[in-house]
Amino acid sequence: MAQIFKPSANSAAKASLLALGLAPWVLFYAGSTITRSSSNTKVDVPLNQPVPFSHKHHVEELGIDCRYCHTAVEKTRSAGIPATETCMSCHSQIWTNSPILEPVRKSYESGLPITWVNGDVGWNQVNKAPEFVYFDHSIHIDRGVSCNTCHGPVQQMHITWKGKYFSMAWCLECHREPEKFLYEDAEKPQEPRQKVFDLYRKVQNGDKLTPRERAVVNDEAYKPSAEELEEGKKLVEAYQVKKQQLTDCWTCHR
Amino acid sequence: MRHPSDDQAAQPLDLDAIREKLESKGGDYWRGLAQLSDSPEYSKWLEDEFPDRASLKDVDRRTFLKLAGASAVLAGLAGCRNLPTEKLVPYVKAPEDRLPGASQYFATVMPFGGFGFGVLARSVEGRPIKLEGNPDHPDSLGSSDAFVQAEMLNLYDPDRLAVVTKDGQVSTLDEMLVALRAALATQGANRGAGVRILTETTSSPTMARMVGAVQKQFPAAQWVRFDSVSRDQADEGTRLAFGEPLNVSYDLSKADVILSLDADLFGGGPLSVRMTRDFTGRRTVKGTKVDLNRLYAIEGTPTLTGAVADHRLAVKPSEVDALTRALATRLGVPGVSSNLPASVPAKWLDALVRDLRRAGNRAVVIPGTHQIPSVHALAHAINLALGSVGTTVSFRKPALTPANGAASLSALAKDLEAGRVDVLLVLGGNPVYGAPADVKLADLLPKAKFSLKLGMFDDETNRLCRWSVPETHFLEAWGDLRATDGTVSIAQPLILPLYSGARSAIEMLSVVAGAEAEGMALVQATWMAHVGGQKGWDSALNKGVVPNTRSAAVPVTLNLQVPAPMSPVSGMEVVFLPDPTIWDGRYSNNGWMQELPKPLTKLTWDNAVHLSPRTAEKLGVNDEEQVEVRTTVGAVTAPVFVMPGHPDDVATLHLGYGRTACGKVGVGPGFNFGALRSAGAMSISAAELRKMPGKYPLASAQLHHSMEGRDILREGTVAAYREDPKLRPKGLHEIEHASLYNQTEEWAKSGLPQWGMTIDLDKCVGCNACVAACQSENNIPSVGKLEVQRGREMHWIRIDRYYRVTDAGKSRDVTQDRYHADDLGDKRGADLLDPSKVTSHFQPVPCMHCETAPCEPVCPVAATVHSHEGLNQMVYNRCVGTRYCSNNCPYKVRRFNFFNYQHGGKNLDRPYGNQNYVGEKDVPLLRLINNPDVTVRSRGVMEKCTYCVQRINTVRIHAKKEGRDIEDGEIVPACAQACPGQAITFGNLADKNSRVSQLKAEPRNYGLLAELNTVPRTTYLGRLRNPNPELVEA
Repeated sequence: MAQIFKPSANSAAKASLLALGLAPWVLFYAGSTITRSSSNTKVDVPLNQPVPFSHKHHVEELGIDCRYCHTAVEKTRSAGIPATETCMSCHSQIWTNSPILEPVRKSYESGLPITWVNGDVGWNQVNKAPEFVYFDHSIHIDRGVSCNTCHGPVQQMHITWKGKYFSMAWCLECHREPEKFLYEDAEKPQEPRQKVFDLYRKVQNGDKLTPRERAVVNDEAYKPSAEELEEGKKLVEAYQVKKQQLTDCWTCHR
Repeated sequence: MRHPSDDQAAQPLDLDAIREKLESKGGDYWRGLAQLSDSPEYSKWLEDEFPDRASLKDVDRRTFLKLAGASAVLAGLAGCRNLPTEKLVPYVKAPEDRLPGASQYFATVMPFGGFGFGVLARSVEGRPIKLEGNPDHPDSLGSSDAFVQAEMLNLYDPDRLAVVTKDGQVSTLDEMLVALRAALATQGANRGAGVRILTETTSSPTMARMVGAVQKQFPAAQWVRFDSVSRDQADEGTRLAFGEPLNVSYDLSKADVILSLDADLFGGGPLSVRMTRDFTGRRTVKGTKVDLNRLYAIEGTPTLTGAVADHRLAVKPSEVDALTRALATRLGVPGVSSNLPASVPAKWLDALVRDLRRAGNRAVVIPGTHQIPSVHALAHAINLALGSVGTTVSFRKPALTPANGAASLSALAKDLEAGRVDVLLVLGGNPVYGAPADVKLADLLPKAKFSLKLGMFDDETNRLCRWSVPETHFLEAWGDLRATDGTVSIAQPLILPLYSGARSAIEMLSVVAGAEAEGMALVQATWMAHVGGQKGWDSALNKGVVPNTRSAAVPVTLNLQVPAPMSPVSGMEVVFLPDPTIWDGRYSNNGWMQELPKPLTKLTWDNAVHLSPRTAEKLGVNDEEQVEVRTTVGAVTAPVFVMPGHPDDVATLHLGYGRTACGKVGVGPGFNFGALRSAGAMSISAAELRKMPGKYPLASAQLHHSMEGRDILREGTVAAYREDPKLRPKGLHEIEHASLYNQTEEWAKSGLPQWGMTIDLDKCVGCNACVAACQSENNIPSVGKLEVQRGREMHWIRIDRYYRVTDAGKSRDVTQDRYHADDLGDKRGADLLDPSKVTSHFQPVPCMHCETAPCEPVCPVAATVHSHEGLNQMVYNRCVGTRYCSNNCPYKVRRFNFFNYQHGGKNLDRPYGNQNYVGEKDVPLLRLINNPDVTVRSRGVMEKCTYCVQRINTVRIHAKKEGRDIEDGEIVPACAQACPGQAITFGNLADKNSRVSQLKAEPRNYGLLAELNTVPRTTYLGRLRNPNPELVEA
């Protein structure tokens, strides 16, 4: 009777054993990669909107303050989405005939919300914290956390995309070690809240940014130096950030 | 379907066994007779927090493993999904001052019993979600009660009428207006002699003005006012005493000695809030400083007042008249003679008289609203004799002359029968259901040529009227109402009517008067001149009260005309009272109120025939067994609920149940005892009772969440307090817990506030305001009768009611001895049958937020953990529903979502009571009521009191933004905010000057089951009783 397996089958058997051993790891890696990929998280994926609003144009090129449209960001948990009226405060004067602004004008005239060409109502929500998370914009601004820290390089977005995947581990990076993220402009000490918006003014003016500021604005990784960490710790103290509170469950979930 | 209580065979009421038990046990506190008799029913509730759950024992090992494996795989897959992109719809024009996510508060006024109760309504993004008392309103002072809280659910009730109908067919408002005008046009010739306007009693000046306008058009038109639960007898009483009807108000803040003559000072809904607050405000115990008022309650049915009283005497309601006469004679009211009923000990009465005399103008005698007019008249005479009119009692002229409701309804019925009514407008109320049985309104109403009902629900009256117009809720309409002292509040709408066809009563009247106008214009026409223009109007709306509208107290001169004494009822008598949770039926369709355990019986979803143990034994019935109650006008068969402390030969019957129409929740539960009332006997009547076959299951929560402990309630007399300010039971070996951990130091080091709470049992009257406020604030679902029977009610704070046989008049009771009763040769068992000697005690129990919480170490997924501020946190998104935490909680304060109570009823067999209440189509409307700051919990998740962490976080963020510390009293949990007795105090324990720290330093402070070393953050202050020393035996 002829041999069923050739000698090379030995190698194949060994290889398959190895593959079998590796399979769970590969599968796990593949799974986690897919989970973290932007096709799943929708991070860095621009979302179509009824009106192709450009943050790059309005923020970077025109220099409009974030708070002109997101009026509640310093006051309540929600930053707020601007009303049609807010758009029309400028666009009743400029670009009054622009076809892409047609839905805005229609909404203002009819008193009904902005619609898509096909009649659908509503803008696509780009950033959303899970519903069991009670996030508050105002306190983060008040402690000097820049918009871009969570929302990515907004001033570069022609069509807005999600800057960060709001996973709990990501939130905890700062909630566990706020000193890594708090900083101050040494030349111009000011209230943390003012600092947030001053940064955007600098970007708009084309002022020189410190490496740290550049990292925040452009959403790049930044490893603070030992001195900066020390300074951060002092700021944690000065801002009365209670680190123990930050990791209590009921601070965010209730 | 199998019913949980089917397991137990009917057990006859064996009082002898109970008596024996009680004697051997001494004067311990007990939850109900079932506990005393150690019945299987009680042990079931003691051993298992959630008995009657489906058991896994029928599943074999293989099937179990298969199911477990499949669940694990499916649970993993459930995580793999693409979350849908959601849509955001911004405003076109953003409303000024309305920020997304921020709350706004508006002052408005809620109608109750004809008066207005000032409220502050919290609105989030244009949606009212919570009511609080208005601190500027004289009847509230910032507190509220269960009825106020429940109004939120009435607003969003999916069963509300939405469209105008004619003969049950959908019509339009315009068609209705055409028909109404046509009907009115025929009335011009006869000056409107055929026009009748039927409403409830109201104090609304605009309503009165509008009726006046109608009567200008139609001078012969009649305004009939009828309330099922009325103040007719009180009005008649002032007429007997002073020759004219007057409103009486009592100022308990000035009263040292209070006598209630069958009056429920604390159970009268919103009208009791101020009374409760004034009463508990006079119960100050601070270290050695003891300043307590003294409350005597003579009552014909157990009430909250009797439970709180220092001395309580249970008599038959018909005996109160004779008793009042005896009291009046002794206090020198001329022209009264009487014989003291045999049941009243003369010594007791004499001591009471001396105490009242001593207090003089700081004493007050308060008659019960449902008592006969002579009791009212004599009580006023007594108050005059004591000199208390002017200090604790004041009389005011009512804004509108009150009409006797039952009499005017009878007159209307006669007119209907004679065909004299052409146009009948029923604006609010439900007279067909509330009418006495001998006024056959249901048969006569169709005789009106044009009949119209304005109402929120498709109720019994609505079904019989040709036209039905949806009525606005008070949060949707303009209006005005007077407080009990005459102060006017303007009701402003917080939301447009949910249904566009809805109108308010004043708007309907403006149509009848021929000048249709909107509510705001009508109210402004009444008040604009008074408030002095727009600025004054704005400030009146902002404050919630119109300045300079309080009516002045009028001086009175006695012109007493007392009728002959009431002949005593020899056999059984019945007393009809508004239900403690659904009142006269106006909250029938409200799941919150149906499920709110009634303060004394803990009964939910039903009413019953309440009897004393001795009467029940005489009739041969026990709980849930049926009796037929027969009066001259009708008979009703209903189950019995045996109530220790209930006077003998009396049955207490609560109104408001047995509805035949009103909505999906209200139709089904309970029995209509209103069918036993006649126009002449609306509140007290003679009756016959006989046993009927069969049982009707009741859902009483009185045994649910029973704790097994030795030192649950602490209370004692003032003398006992002087002896041992900790009010410890004698024989208790208190364990001092020593710890190496220096808590104060650790707290100071962390720099964080440490939250804690105290509940002063001396100030708790058991009114349920906290339970309802918590339900409204924290998105707590109702679960339905069947689920309550299984012990699955979801309330985060419950009020435990304990009974005890005490005799405040015995010195041995001064230091209660619960462990050595035998030494005393006590005969408490015999006293069980003396209704006056059974006392009731309340203890609100929320989560204790134990520092060494037993629930935490047993959670396999760390879903319940401790915060650095001392909160026992429950993280819903981590919870997998093992219920270990609940098993390990000695206080039984954790609640489990056995079903998706909030998301429609597919997986519930009988959700929300008898019918499929939360159908899928009802969910969107009911969602509007939810507090956006609190997670809506899903099936399989454990939940419990959070100390209102959403309020803590809101205040904390606010304080941080202002760069300051949180002030004492800035954070108020919903229960504490509602509490009319101001019994609940919350604050920072790390701050030694905070109010809560100071209360915790009081000697009366004790922890519940503290011997378990759970170190609860919620602690109690023992209750003090202030008995008359003369009545304390040596």
